[in-house]
Amino acid sequence: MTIRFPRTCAVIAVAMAAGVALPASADYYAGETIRIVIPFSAGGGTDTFGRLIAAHLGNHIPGNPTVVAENVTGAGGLLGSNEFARSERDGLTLLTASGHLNLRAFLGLEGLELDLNDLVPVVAAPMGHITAVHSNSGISDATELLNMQGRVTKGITDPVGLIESIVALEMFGIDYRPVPGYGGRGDTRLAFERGELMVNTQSTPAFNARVTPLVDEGTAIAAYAIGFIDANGNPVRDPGAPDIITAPELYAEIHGTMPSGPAWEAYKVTANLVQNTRGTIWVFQDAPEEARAALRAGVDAMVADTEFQAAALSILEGYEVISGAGLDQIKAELDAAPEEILDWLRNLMTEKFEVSFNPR
Amino acid sequence: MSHDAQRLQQMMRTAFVLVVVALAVAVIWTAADFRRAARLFPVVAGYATLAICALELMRQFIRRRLLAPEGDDVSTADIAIQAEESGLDGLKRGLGVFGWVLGYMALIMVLGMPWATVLFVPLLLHLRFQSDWRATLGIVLGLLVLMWTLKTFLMMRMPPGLLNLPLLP
Amino acid sequence: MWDALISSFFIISDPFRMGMLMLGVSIGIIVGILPGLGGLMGMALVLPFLFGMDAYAGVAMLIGIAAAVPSSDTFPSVLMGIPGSSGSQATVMDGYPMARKGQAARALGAAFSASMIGGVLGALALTALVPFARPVVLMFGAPELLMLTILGLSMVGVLSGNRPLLGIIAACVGLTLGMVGGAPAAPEYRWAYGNVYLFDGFSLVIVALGLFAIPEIVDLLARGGSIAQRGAVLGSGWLDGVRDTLRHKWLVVRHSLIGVAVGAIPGMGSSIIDWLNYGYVVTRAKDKSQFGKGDVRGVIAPEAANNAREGGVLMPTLLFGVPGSSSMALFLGALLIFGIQPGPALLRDDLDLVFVIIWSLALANVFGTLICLALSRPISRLTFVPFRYIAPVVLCIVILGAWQETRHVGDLITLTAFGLLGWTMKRIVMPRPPLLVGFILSVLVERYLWMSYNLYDWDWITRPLVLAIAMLCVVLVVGGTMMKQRVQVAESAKEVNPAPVVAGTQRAQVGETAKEVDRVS
Repeated sequence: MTIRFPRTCAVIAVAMAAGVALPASADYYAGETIRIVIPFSAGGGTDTFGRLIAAHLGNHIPGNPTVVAENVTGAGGLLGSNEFARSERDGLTLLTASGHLNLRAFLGLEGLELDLNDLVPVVAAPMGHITAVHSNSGISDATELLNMQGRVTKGITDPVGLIESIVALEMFGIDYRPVPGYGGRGDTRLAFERGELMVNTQSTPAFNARVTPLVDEGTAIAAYAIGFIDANGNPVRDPGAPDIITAPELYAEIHGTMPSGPAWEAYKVTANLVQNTRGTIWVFQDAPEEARAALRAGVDAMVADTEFQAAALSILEGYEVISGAGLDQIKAELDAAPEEILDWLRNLMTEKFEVSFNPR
Repeated sequence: MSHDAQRLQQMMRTAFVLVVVALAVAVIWTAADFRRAARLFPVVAGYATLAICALELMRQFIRRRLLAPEGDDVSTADIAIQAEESGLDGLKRGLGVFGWVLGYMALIMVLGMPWATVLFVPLLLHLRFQSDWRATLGIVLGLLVLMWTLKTFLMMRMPPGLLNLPLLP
Repeated sequence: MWDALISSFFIISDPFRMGMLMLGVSIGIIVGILPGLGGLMGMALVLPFLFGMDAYAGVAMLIGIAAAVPSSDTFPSVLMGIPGSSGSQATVMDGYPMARKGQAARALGAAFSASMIGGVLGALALTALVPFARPVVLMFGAPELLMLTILGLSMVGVLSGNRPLLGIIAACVGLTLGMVGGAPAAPEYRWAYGNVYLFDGFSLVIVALGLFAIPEIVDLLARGGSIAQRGAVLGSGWLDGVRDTLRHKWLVVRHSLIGVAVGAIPGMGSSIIDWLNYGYVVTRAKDKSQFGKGDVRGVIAPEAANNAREGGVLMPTLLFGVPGSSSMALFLGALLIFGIQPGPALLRDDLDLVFVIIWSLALANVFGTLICLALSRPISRLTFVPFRYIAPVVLCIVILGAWQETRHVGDLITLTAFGLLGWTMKRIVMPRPPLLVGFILSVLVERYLWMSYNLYDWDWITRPLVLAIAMLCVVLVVGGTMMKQRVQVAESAKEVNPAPVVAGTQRAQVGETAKEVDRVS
């Protein structure tokens, strides 16, 4: 799905996109092989998205290039994305990144050479997140969120990889105890089910399949969805779980006013950046103009193809591919993110979790 | 096992323990810069290693000097080496072959896998062993076919090497 | 439930799905035989072809791969002393000495028959336990997992023979090496010094290949001749091995169940299972004198366990959607391609699929081990070929296998460095298995200790299951040492008055005598 934004914006964006797409050269990719670097191991959500695109994109790009996906794993995506960062900027190497890898690059995590400002998205897929609270915390309804009893434990995998959920907790001002060491969101969910962790954020599809039974059972409470933010800064319900209230809405319900301050500004940046780019294919901005135009034309044709839509149905788990104007919006949001908010996020990560960033 | 071989083994074992002691000291030393949650374990493990090594060195001293200077037979649940390998000759022979393996690795890093193999296999089989040319040729061709198969059907990649030479077919 | 059991059998017996299952088994056998490659590689290989495939056929193929790998990875472990994948390291300890005595076919026969029984028992256990497994799996929180890793560490004593101190030193080295790279409880890359390759730490596959494969290749080349020692004969083959397995049937059942149980607990890492089982069979054995020299029980126990394991790791995978092993993580991803979200609802809504998985597991184990058995006699002839002709091929495959880990030049350097370490340790009789056990468990101990502390401060120590596992550790360590002393007493008595020995050890002694004669002549 793309974020709903005012019609005028859409018109402008479409016009911009058309302007970019003009020099459509048919032959740039003829006979070439496009390599999509996937910096994660095979089988994960990002990998599956990358492979889906690799399987279909070649048929639609003018010149019908061969597209191969290659997993370059290691160091939580660092090895693969660094390899991409050093590759030729000829449009023949693309990168599949997850929303959190994008955020790491955006904040400049130590050891990561990727700079999102050098990249433009080719195609992206969104994914929402939902936070649940365990009933052991002594509350029975999401509105009692601030009255949780005992040690409010939150499982930490890699802090930057959970940033949208951490920022949400900061926004509510909940005093939680981070428990580091978990291998992935699946592990934290299991620990949550055991009653070891009190708050837990899962991707919406994982929440629907595996946490909803716990909610029905009464051991968990669906607290809030992270949701999306529209161009005016207002919360939008998660299309994967439209019945679940978003965090800002819940905040308004508890406090009577919408959230404000740096935590809220950071929330607006992270919610969209992480969730709209859950799977993103990137190309270098300084790749040849005709290469980027051909990629864009290929994606537009691919998205319109019913065969692709059928294959994408289960992999995108209820969301829609972002192409065309939606990509411009992602890029625009990246450019518009205020530097002081990014510093606030870096500070949060450094002070609470001792994360170091590249010197700026 | 001969007496000399046993002495050699004992000396090397003591040397290994001393290397481990140095490693443990280095671990404790360097871990001082780590964040708290990353520091605790290396430091504890380092001190534990030091303690165990001290015990082992003490045991070796008591056993070798005081109790039984002759017999100090070790048997573990690991694959044992044979008597003929345990002496200085066996050590030298083994080191020689290890040198060949190191050479192969170096060739791979420079030339890339296929070219390094084409070069290494005949060298090993003719300089180190007496092989006949038909066998050598068969092995080299077989390996190239194997690499091609792995590359084509199992999508395996070959180390390209620093020179990044064009791959053999 | 019975309806689903039968209807799913008809689903899987469709010729196309059967064909896919067999294809999966074949791929699994190939990647298993190649050292360094395992189920993960095989599954990643077929992943692109799953898009648009029938879900049952795809699942059958993936399970076929997962089930065949722990059978076929026995070949390099037994024949060359090279762990075929990270799940068959312990098989090296006794299988390889058997091959050197010319009993390769027997060792393989025992391994494969134990694998088959273990695999089928694993599938049965999965069928029987899946409805009840959820509360049991949920009982294992961070403190319990911590105790299980400590239980694994307590095996170090057993694996160190008559010098526990040397074993503990090796384990400490392993623990330290396991700490390189990202720390579990803080964003710190220990001893990486900005080198991104080291951020993940050393790969277990490369460490195992370096410790065992490189030293064996070097020593065999230096010694000359073939893998089987001079004077050894191929032996009457795999039927002997099958008989060994049948003779030790309770051993097979016991270790299959351990394999299922440990596999079912997510977060333990399946590569420790074979060492746990090897350590346990040594602890419980009355006569320990032949372990490490070619005791067939040392082959049967880990092989039964590592095939049964797949039945275990599928439990958390299907019940919670939490991967029980790295290849199961990929399996979960593949299910996503078919639009299946594993979780509690799966058992309610899609029981057919669950039983297709179980049937595939059982059938793939049977087919896989039968194929391996058929291959065992011809392949074990390799142990009689002059090793100088085999060495280049094996070395090449080992290096390629290691290179597939990250395709970084660091893979080659790590392989060489651990090769040198392993070779040195072998020379000076420092036991290598404790190093590997320490290496595998290092991060786990640290992770679960910090988790337990952050969750419960120190209150977790009094949890009943924690105390129970702690007792088990004590019993195993104390029992192991006490039994060892008793055996040593018995052995010294035996030297005066040789007691009748069982068929297995007798054969072993014949092999030894042949070697002695050969050396004298």
